[in-house]
Amino acid sequence: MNLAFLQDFGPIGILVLGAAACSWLDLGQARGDWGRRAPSRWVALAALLLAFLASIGFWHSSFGPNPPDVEHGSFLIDRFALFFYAVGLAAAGAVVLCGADAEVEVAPHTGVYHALLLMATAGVLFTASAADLISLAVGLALTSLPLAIAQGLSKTNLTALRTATRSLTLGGALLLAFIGGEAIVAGLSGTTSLSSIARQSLPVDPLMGLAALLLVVGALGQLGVFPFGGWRALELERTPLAAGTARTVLPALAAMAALLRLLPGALGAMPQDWTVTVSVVAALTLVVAPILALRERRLLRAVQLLVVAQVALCLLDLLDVSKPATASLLYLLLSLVPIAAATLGLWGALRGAGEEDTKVALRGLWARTPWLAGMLALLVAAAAGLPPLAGFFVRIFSVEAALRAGFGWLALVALVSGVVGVLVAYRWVMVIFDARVDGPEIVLPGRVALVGVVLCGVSFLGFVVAMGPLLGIATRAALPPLFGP
Amino acid sequence: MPTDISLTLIVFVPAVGALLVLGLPVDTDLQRFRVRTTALFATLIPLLIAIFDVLGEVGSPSQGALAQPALNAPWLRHFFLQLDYHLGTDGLNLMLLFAVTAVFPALILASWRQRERYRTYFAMVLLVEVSLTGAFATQDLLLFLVFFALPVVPLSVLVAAGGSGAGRRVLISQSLSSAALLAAILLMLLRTGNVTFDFLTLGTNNPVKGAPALIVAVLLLFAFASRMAIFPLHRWLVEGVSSAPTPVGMLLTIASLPVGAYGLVRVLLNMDPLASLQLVRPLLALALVALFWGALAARGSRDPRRIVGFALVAITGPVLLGVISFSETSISGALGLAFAYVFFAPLLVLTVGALCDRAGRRQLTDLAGAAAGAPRLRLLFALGVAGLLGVPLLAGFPGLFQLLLGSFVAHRYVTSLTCLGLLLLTASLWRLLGAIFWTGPKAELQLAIADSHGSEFYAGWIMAGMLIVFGFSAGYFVPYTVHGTDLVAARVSSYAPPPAPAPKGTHK
Repeated sequence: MNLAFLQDFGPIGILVLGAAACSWLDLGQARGDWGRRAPSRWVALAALLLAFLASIGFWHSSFGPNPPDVEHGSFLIDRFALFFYAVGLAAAGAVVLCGADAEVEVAPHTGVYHALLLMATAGVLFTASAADLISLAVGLALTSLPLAIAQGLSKTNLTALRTATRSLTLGGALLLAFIGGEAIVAGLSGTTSLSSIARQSLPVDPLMGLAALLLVVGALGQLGVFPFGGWRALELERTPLAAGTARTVLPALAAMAALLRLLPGALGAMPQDWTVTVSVVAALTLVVAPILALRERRLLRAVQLLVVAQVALCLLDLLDVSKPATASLLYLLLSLVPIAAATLGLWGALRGAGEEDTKVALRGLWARTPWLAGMLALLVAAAAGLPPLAGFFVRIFSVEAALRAGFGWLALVALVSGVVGVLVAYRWVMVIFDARVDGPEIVLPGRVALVGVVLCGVSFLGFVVAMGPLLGIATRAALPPLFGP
Repeated sequence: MPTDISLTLIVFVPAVGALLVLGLPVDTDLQRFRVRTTALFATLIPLLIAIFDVLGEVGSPSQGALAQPALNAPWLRHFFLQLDYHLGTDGLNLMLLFAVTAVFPALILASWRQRERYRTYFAMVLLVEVSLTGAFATQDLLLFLVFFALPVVPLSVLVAAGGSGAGRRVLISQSLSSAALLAAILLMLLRTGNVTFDFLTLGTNNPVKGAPALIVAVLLLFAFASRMAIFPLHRWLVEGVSSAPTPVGMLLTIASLPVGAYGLVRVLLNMDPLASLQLVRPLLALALVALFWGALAARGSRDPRRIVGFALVAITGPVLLGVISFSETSISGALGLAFAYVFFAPLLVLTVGALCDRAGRRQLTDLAGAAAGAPRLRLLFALGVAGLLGVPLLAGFPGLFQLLLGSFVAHRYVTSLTCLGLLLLTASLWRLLGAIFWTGPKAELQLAIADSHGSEFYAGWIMAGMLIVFGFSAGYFVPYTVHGTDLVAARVSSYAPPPAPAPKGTHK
């Protein structure tokens, strides 16, 4: 009996097993067997760690440089996929750690929440490995649907339930659009295999433009770009925080993996079909998100919108079908993970303390809780991409990619958007460091969440110091076979 | 000779100091004293190292021509671009680097009476020092961009935190300036495919040609002119100096002209000499307008702080003239004046700020004779003005003298007009000097301004002392700077059109 598939699906299998264990533990948690402890958290972390180690092991194995044809070409464990494995697993781990304080919002179903989180992470891994139109759609569904369900775990909160239902509906609609686009591509090319599509020279057909539009809208909606950025911020605020954050991070990773496989990968030979759509969406997001952030009176919503603006920079990288641009995009995604996770940790602490994140509530925070204020200021700076943090370099790379792709106007928009982002950061830093207001001290995040937040804070600078090696890894991950016309 | 570790220490010891400061408690007077002394030590260590570097380097002027061996570690390779952690000193940057390290202890002393936000204030000041020393020490354009953009938010926060509305103006103008520099770099990268941004490589291989070169030059010019606060991009400096707390105003001046002037020479002239030559005429006009406009605005203003601000805007004109005259002497003079600016500009802000703060008044007429009972303040202000106007035996003199000498050869009429503008500026400052510092007190005003003392006195004398020391020892360090400008000037002159042949029949 050939059991090689067990090795192929090792990391995903570990996550599925972890999810099963968390579900089982949830029964005990619901009965109160574990008291206030949340053993499912540690099981989830252990599963993520094991899957991470297994992925790292693949990197040096024969899978990496020469990916074998796994499962009849529909599933590929190349270095590109392994990069997403690592980032997806690290992101999920950061969400579990930083969301420790926010778990109360899904109590007593903490175990179910962790199980759904692990399933969504498995979805990210599946999407990253997908080398077929069908498996791409399955991966995206596997990522977004469990998290939409997790958002509805706060059963007594009617607003949360309504928002979760809308989120589920919206996610489903976007998925449908994506599948519609895939169907047209499959119909025109006569195959669902991405590598076969890439090898064909498809005829010029207006339907291909429609397919590109559907694919781009379907995938980019998951990323929270225009016009879904405001919705994402609202969703994060109204639903359980940890689930909302995971809903922001993990589907974005999966969607970006899918877009990379599809656009520069399979359709890289005909960029004229999709680059205009991508550039328009990118420009709208780059303009709207920072302006909304500038008008925002709640800090963490503003951070969320700044993150959306950074996600739009990914689209600039997408326009240039080249290895450095793809590597830059991968590095950008990596740098966004700690920002999202730190937002979760700090917001969780504020919510847990019954505090608001409005300007009035945070005015003069520096005098009351210096460490929290410092971390919030660092978070805003990272989200706005102030030098010398990773976001600053990421903007340079993305603008360069847009220029190389011949989108000079978009590069200009990205630069102006960066200046507006700096203005947002400045406004909030001024609020936090206002000395005219004093008040009671705000408690710091709990011990587990604090560890997560501190790790995220260290990675803000660490990603810059280690930029060379990280981009080296990203460059190796951006290797063919699926890339480039 | 600067070693790898010495320049890294100069740049990053203040960053360590900032972190330490942020971690210290500030509940009691003793604890607040510790915060201040920690910040002071974090600025003194780079100064001591810089003194050794200067003493080791300046004695051999020929070493100024090329960046001395320093740390050059690859940071980012095999990508769109290469980024190196490359620090090094040569004739262009060593003296400016030293000046920045020398003025920051004075700035900390001037901030000794800071009442609020001890930790953030000193941490941000130290962060600005990191950015300035980093900008001068780096030999890589991308790293220069990082250090160029780094002080924008701290400076804006410091200005705004003092209750001034100028913070946003500082933020927007300087963010746009950084964005322009970034755009220029990216355009250069796009047009050439040149992946390295090492200053030496960029200087030897002219990367961009044709119309794009002109666009790059205009973007660079906007970036550095805005940082220098040249007319019409000067309002952030004037508003900042006139409305921010005195030490923050001092900090703004240190972060303005020296970095901008250095950027013009190091980046614009070095990399884009042909476009610089094409832009000479508009730039000459700009230099004259900046000087006359600044001098006239200083003459017309009634607020002593604004008068100083406009005087500092006026002096950007001669510096620009020196840079675009393209000779070793004039460029060296421009950098020499920028060097002196690091001392006289904050000194002027300190003395005028001290006077206005103590009197609680901002109008020249209300302050008439206010400094009659403050001889120390009077002397410090006079030294600052003398430094600005290039009075012999002060540090401003060698710079201004070389600048005018070098510029006269290339643009005699413009240089003559510049001399006229400097006379106008002298008259404007004389009005301030006469009205407040030399006039006797009016009985009806009954102003009793306390003289400079304690930390403020020491801060003033550090800057005044530097002006005097470097005025006397000009012969020792000027050749080093002149050698530093050799390559840049030679590079520009290699692109200059050959002189037209003399018509036949003319006498030889």
